[in-house]
Amino acid sequence: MITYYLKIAWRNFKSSKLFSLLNLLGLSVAIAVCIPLFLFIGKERSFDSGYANKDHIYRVNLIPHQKSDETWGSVPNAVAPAMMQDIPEISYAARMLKNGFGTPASLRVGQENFKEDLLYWSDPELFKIFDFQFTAGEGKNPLQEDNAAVINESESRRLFGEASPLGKTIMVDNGPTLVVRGVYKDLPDNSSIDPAMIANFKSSRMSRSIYWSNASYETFCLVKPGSDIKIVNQKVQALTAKYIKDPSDRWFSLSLQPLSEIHLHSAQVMDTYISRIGDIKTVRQIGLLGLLIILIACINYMNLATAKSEKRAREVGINKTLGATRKQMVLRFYADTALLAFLSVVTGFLLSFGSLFLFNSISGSHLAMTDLFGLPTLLFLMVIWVLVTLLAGSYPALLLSGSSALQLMQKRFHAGGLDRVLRKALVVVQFSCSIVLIIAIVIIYQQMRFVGNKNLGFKPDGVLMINISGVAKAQNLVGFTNEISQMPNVRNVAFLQSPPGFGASQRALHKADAKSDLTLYTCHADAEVVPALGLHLLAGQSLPKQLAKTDSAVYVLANKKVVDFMGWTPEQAIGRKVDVDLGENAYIVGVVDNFNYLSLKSPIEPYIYYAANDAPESFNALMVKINTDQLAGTMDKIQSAFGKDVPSVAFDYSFLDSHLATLYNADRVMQRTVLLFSCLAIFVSCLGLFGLSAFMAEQKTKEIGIRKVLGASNFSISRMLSLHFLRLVVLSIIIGIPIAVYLMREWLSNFEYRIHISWLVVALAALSGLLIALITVSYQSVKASRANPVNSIKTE
Amino acid sequence: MIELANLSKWVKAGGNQTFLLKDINLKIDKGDFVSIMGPSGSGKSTLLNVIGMLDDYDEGQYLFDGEDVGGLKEKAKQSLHKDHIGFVFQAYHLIDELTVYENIETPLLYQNMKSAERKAIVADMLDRFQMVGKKDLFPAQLSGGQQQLVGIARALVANPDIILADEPTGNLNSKQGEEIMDIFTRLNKEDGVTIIQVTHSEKNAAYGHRIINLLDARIEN
Repeated sequence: MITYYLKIAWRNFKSSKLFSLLNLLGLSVAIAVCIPLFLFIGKERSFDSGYANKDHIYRVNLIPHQKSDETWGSVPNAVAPAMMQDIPEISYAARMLKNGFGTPASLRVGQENFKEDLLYWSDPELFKIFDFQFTAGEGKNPLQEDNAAVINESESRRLFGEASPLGKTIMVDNGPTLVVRGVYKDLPDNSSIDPAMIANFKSSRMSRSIYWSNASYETFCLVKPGSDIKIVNQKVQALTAKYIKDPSDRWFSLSLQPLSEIHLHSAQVMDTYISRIGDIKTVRQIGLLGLLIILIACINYMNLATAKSEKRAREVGINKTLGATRKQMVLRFYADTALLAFLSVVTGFLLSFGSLFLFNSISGSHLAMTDLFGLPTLLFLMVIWVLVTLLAGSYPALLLSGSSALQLMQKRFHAGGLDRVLRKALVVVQFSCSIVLIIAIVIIYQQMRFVGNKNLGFKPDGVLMINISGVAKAQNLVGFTNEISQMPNVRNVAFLQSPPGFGASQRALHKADAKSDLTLYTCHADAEVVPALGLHLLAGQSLPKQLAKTDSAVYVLANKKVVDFMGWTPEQAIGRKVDVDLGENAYIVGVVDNFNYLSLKSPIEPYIYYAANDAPESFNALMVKINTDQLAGTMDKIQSAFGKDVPSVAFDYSFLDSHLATLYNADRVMQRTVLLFSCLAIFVSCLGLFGLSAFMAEQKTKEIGIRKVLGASNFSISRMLSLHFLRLVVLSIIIGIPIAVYLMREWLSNFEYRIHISWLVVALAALSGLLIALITVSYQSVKASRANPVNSIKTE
Repeated sequence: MIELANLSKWVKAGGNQTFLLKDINLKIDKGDFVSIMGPSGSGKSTLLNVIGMLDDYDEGQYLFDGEDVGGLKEKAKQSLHKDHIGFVFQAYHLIDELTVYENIETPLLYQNMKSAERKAIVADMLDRFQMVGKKDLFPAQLSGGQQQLVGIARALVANPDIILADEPTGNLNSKQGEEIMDIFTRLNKEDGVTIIQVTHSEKNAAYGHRIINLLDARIEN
């Protein structure tokens, strides 16, 4: 029997080529799109599931009392030892400190320098918590000696080639010299922690003082199986009360976060060294978009199938008089859909090789082609097959099989008009989605352009950033800075603790009469900061060029927020003493206009540049403002000067403007993904509309013929046919606009600086949706209206 | 075999009750050949559909082989009609996507017959109607007369007791019509198949043993 159904299904498929191809194309495109999304979601959900202790590993997070809506992923370096000592349920705890609090390290191996982004200083306990697989060296306790380090296989190849790295030495940032004691397999892509090199924490400069104040140490712990995590959490929280004697110094509380939640539920967690951060929201959004496209393709199928059902009805009627039961007829229609869905799944699978490549390049993911042949993908395709068959096949199957044979065999079968209403409703649903997506594309594009063109309050273009955190003393750079300052294309050279777009130190701005202090960001700098960054000076002058050896004053260049809070005008502020946690003698020497030192997503807060002898923070970057006319030549000269003057440090540089652009990477990915999805969704919707209009034109051949005989013009007929659909599209616009505006307001609220949604833009976007629909429909309308009326009347 | 007693069927349109069939009393025995005649709209096709259990009635009684059809559930009715009744239509109603062979085979599929048995029966049927050479053609490739032959073969293949034919020659020329009528006569005489046909043509009606005239939903005496 089933072969009989399939035979009929196949012949049906062939006999209505246009409908079949439209359906096949729509469904297979939808499936091809969904496969990479499925793999992406699968990968995001699989994060950290490879570790043997995955269910018992926790990260210690910190919640600052001052801003209780924030969570930090790092804690003071005293927390891990205290946990091991005080809490019996904790088997192990280990700190992970990224080198230089996140600035890349300069590694020296023999005579060569390498830049390393992923050097972590950690405790030996780390290897008890996470199971690393060692391929060389003594794996059990590789960080036994204080100066021991382990590296992963890629790092071993990079630093040492094919030679065995065991026992070789690596000098880090011209400081400690480490000995390689082990090589471990590269951690998988779906691991949250990603060290390429791990060195014993005891060799780090940061291990010299153990304190409860500076929270910069990502800390993981292994809880004994069977422990009540609530109780462990309470014990962890109790640590601050025990170890921080002065209650006014207890500025935070601690809490444990399970490893399984770190990847997808930490988007809001700040101050973490983990860079592979996912977001459950993104996963959900992407899943939703995928479902939407499948749904739109299924709607196409339902629409075309029910439209065709008037023709199919007769056949079902005959079969019923020949003795077919309802069940048999239902099965027949499902077989019909199943065949098409199967062909679509196969086609979609073949197309997915392309879509996976596209998805990877758009989203920056690294999904492997081999994943396409994995069991999960095959299961997913099976599920999609069954789902589409049920979803798309049910309506025609149940509609037709439920009617009586006599009804079905009548010349024109109507299911009480229900199918027509439903068809219209489905078209409206489909097009509303398209309208929402079109509006979303336009607004996202506008916002990203706005972000790109916004006056940041400084000029990031042509600013070269050179990482100098590996240079032991700033004096060592004097030769270099003198040399490049002489170059005709170099305008200014400034020393900075951290460039815009990177975090600065957090301190507090105190006002004598005010109860609450304001969070203040401070950045160690020199006089050249104003011209190099193109800051706009409102009053006073830049930081002093030279400081006398005995000068104990701290010179402050404040932004306008600071003086606003103090209640001064910029002019009044000059020369005033200000309490910024930098000692007694801090004076304002200049005031600059507010500038966006972080991404435009965050508001501008009080910010100062300061200069002082014995500053608590060192310089980490050189900002070189250059004339970009002969960029390649200038860069060559700067690089060779660096290699000559600072031979022991790798030349690590980037451009400020491109660094700032990376702050919006996630949004850009979102923008491109939405763009792609929208185009596909609109494309699939149009396929459906095209099919429906073709069908309508066919249905109305007789009416068109009669009207033409009565004197209707081609134009009036194509207008009649097109208007039928345009009414539906207009309804979709009315439904789609409020949804789109609501969703885009939500998205825009992520940005501190954002565009206003202009009704003109929304209207234009909606209009373009209308235009797309019109073009789709008019092809068939015009074709139908041109037909010879004699032929069309004869068809009845 | 078929007994209709005071059977009526009506539709209500705007408060008016319009009878499609009124007080029909009719007895058809096994092996009968009955022609139903009457002007358009007199209720011929409706009567045939009621007999064929494709349509319901509102009043009266319908006994099929002594069983009260009105009291049967949909499924029982369906199986009754599947096992005993074959239909022949004016517009042939062949399935366009199936070949001659497959069209004839279809009723057997719904009887859940085994493939080998089906093959034998269909082959026999093709032989009987001299259509072996045409078995792989699709309906659109046949003339009207040939299509109707396929229609009759399909109606017969499940070996029904009754053939219900709704103007079987309506779309055919007179020579083709005669051919069909000859087949009906032979079936009736040789195989004892009961035949009930609706027709407009006096000449074709005369092939039957008796003629029932319908006028305005009633049987005329």
